[in-house]
Amino acid sequence: MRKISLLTVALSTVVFAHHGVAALSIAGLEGPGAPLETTSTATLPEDKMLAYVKIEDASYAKYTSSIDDEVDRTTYLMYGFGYGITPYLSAYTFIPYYTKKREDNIGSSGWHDIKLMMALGFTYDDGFKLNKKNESLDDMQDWHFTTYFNISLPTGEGEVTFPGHSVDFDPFLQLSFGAPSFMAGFAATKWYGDAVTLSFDTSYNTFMQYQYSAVKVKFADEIRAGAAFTYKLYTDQKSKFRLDADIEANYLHIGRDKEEGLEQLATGGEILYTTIGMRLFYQTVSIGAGLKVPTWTNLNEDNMQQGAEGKEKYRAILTFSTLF
Amino acid sequence: MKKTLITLMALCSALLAHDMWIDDSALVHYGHRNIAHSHGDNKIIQGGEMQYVSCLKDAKIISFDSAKQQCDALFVQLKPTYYTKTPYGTKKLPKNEVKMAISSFLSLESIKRIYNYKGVEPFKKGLELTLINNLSEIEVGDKARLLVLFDAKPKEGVTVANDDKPIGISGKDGRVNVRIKQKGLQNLKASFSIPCDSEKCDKMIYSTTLNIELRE
Repeated sequence: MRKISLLTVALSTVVFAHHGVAALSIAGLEGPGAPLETTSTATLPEDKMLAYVKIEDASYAKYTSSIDDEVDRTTYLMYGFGYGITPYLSAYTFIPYYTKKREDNIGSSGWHDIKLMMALGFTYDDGFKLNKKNESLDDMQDWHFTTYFNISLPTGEGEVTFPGHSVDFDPFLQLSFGAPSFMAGFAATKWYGDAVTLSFDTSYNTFMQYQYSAVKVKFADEIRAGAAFTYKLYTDQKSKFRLDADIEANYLHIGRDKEEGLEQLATGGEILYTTIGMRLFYQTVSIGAGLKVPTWTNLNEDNMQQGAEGKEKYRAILTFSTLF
Repeated sequence: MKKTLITLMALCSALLAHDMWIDDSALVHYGHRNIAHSHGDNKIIQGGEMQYVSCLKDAKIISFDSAKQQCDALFVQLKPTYYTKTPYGTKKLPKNEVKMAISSFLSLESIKRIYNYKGVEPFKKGLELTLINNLSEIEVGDKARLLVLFDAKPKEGVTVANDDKPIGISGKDGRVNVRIKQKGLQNLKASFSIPCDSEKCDKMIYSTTLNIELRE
């Protein structure tokens, strides 16, 4: 029933690339905006480091009034580090720390699987060209693209058990996929030179089968597509402050999980989220905050998928990033 | 690095407060092309204020005699001028020749007009902008692909502006792209500063303007 919820830990891998740092452009605070969830095409400046933290707190709708095994809350904390190898190639490491809690107070908390990512940035300027070091503000108005590739390594604990409780093993409460997962994505951004930035992304995520102690699991593949409209509300060049508003549509398709090779009921479906948020830039620091809610769902067995994507009451998102 | 960029921007803003342009008669104007911004200080630069004037014709740099030469490009370097700020106004004198100097700079300014696609060879005189793409093929919405040179070598870290709006900073290759937004005479500007090499000023500010025209 809630196996699909385990997949939520993978979703955040998609959003790694939207580090959302203020463009280190000539004007510092000019340049395209950065969405909260949809991947930005911005690559890191050459020889610059990025530090990133994201907190995502989700609360889930309950199907019953009794205290039982329903999912209550998840809090996903993500630490990220990035490095601009060249103006067009950035490398990232992400270290997640997840807390998951059921209604009956059984839960888990700990480091999840480490993710490694590379992002390649290019632009269309009389042909496709790799990002260059010194883009002018007029260059930044060209269409920009990024392809990114991500692998997660099973460094987390995949055998979290609860002896003496009503449940001994719950896939939802595991802190690892148990095996590597792979993701490939593509993002596009168009900055119109003033307040408006449009961003689009799509990605495909696939998981390897893993033999947990209790069961052999193959988590379902995921397809995502997002579109974001970012609007610059206010800029103060003197204090190097900028405030952006952001609204996004984030689509997610999840297939059915497999256990022992058999497709599982109460897994998979489609969800369309709406994300509304704000992002402020100050000097080289960026802080984003937003709320993500499912506005349309088509889950395979809707009335059996409590705790799955699409069954959140909300996801509250807070990000912090800085360049140095 | 960012601090440097911001400093350059501030410098650029101050420096680019006025325009210089070369008209079709090869007269060099100083002031504000947009008459609404003029303070009544528009003037034509006289020969005595110029240090170097040359014409590029068929890839050769020759002396400039009159507009009838039909240069492919015309380059004018003004005489270096000291400006010193004091409590009683800004003086056109070195810092060590005024009382109560607050700050001072040496202005090293030049202007070039490229008339056609053949006028891209550098004059090799201080700070200079030149065009990499073909002028005759540039239309509104296209980019002017500029090369920032100092004594004919690519110059890094120079702020480039389209009129008074800073657009980019040159990289190691000296390249900066600027999008052309309307027809007519374009004022593309570049500027950087370095500390002064004498007691006469605090810094030396190099600035140059490139004029190209997209005919109506």
